[in-house]
Amino acid sequence: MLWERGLQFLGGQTAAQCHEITNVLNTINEMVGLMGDLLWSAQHRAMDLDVERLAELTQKVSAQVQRGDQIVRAVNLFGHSADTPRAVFDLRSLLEQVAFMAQRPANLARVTLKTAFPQESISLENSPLGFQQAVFIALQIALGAADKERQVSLGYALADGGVEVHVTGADPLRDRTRVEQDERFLRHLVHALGGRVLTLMEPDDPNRITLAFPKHTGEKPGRPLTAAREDSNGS
Amino acid sequence: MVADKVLLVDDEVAFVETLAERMRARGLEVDYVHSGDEAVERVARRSYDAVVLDLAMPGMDGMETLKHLLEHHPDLQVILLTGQGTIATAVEATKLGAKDFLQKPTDIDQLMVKIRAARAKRMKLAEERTAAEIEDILRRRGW
Repeated sequence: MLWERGLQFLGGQTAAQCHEITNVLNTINEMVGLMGDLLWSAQHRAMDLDVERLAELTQKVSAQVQRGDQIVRAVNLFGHSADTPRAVFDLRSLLEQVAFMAQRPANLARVTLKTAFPQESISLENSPLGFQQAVFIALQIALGAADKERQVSLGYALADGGVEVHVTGADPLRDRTRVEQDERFLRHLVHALGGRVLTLMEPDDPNRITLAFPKHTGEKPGRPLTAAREDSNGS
Repeated sequence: MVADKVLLVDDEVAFVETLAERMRARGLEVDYVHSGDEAVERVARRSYDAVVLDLAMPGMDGMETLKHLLEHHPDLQVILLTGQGTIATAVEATKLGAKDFLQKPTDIDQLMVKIRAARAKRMKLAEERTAAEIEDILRRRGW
């Protein structure tokens, strides 16, 4: 079941990010089309070429290319996170990655997704894919039950020799029957990752969802995730 | 000649702004909004020859928006323009009453043809409705 859900997560996220890349390409298509329109008007209708407008469009295309590049890098990093079942990773970077991937579902749910991370860098050794999946599910649960402020925050803190990942901004009184399965699976997954779900939509806890993870799992040290990320062969 | 009035509905801001500019340059009167809810509100206030609707949007998605629009404005000509279209989606949209279905990236000439066809269809429907109303009045007066 864990394997199947992991594969679903990998496939689902890859497809979602492909959709984001498609949005970028479609936008560039329109911008280039508009540039073509301006050139056509100058050539065939003897209209002055609007050089300023062209320059503005060039900058906009460039901004879209950068946006696309950011998505492609995220997809690449995400794909490589499945390379090994256990690796050493920077917690902040991986949470930023999850927050990036959760941006689209947040927009669709009309929720502002914020991150509030401490400055200190913390290394964690665990399954990078499983860890991202657990945090993503926690965010999905919170997004689906966002309170009236419509803002969900993701953060973390050192605690008891490990780390706690917090998700705030959900309303614990919202009907959660639709996500009962997700909640059950989240507990199962976090347990398999050697962690614990400390709070899950408890009405009296402002950290609506808290996931605790040890700094290390297993006996042998895992390899660093950065080696996979900075892949030099372009894969 | 009165310009075709089109409403674009898409949450991708840069995309819809640029497409609107290209369509205006081709003589269309174009408004745009970024969500299904805004589209419903806008159509209630203004008459359009065609609505060009994306599928994946915040809040009410494209299919829900389509249902809502056609429930309240049965003559409205809605063209779905989406980057994630499948044959199943196209069939579902057509069953719901969408006039047409186009895939992104947009071929603007093709979109213009669809919009003109949508306007012609809308005018034909309006003429038929008027003719039926006149016939009804005449029948009730015994003429």
